[in-house]
Amino acid sequence: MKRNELDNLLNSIIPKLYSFAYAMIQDDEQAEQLIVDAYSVFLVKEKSFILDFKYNDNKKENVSFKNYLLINLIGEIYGLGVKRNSEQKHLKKLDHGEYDSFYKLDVTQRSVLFLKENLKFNIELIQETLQIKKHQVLEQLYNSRHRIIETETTDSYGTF
Amino acid sequence: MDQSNNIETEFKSLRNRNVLAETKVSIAEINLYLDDRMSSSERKNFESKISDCTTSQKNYSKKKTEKEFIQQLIPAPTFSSNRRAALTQELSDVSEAILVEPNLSITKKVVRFLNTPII
Repeated sequence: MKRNELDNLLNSIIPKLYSFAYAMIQDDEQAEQLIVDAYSVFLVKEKSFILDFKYNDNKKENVSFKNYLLINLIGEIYGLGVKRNSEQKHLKKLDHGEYDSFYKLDVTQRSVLFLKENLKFNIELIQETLQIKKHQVLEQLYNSRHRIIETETTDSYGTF
Repeated sequence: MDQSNNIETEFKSLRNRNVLAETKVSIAEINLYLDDRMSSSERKNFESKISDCTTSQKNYSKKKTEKEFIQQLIPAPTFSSNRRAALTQELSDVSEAILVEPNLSITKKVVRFLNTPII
């Protein structure tokens, strides 16, 4: 595969990557840095596969390559995001404004909820992307939904 | 005390089962439907069952509102075309640095060398 072909494919998924990275870290610059770092890690790991891949007119193959790129990059962003979130625990205490209840969720809950509700991933795809088991995906999804509503309603009406 | 608690719990679950018996679809099915985890035939079946049961309709609209409420609480960031262009360039630079193609011909090497700025 040629570099410009890869760059074009990557360009088409940048908005999805950015929105996911922003869900991990609520900061424009840090979200962008997360994408760049995740992409570097991905390229180092998959270099020979990418160079050997024959990009052609087969639409089906190209779509699966694009999905492979998206899933792997989101997986890398998630991996790095988990580490950076644990290094910046103080951020959890900050007020995140409009999306405070979302950013108060733990990083895996946030990722699962975002992939399901915003990027419309199905359960199996989330499982593959985040490398966790199906029951864990469902558990995180139910817990995140419950917690986000609970936090939002408690914050709106105050604690009793 | 423990035994009476157990009995109470059992009664509660029986009572809930009676309530569920009145409905044609369970909450789990509603979740499956809203999460797009049903096949097209299951979806049709679900829709026909829900259309003749008011309790199910009520549960469904409650769950749907809850889902819409959650969607509003999730950030959907967009970024400017300038930022996007800068990020695209940065990623392209990463590709260039890492994806060095093997077996580059001498001519290409010379062209690349001549095109590289000295400073």
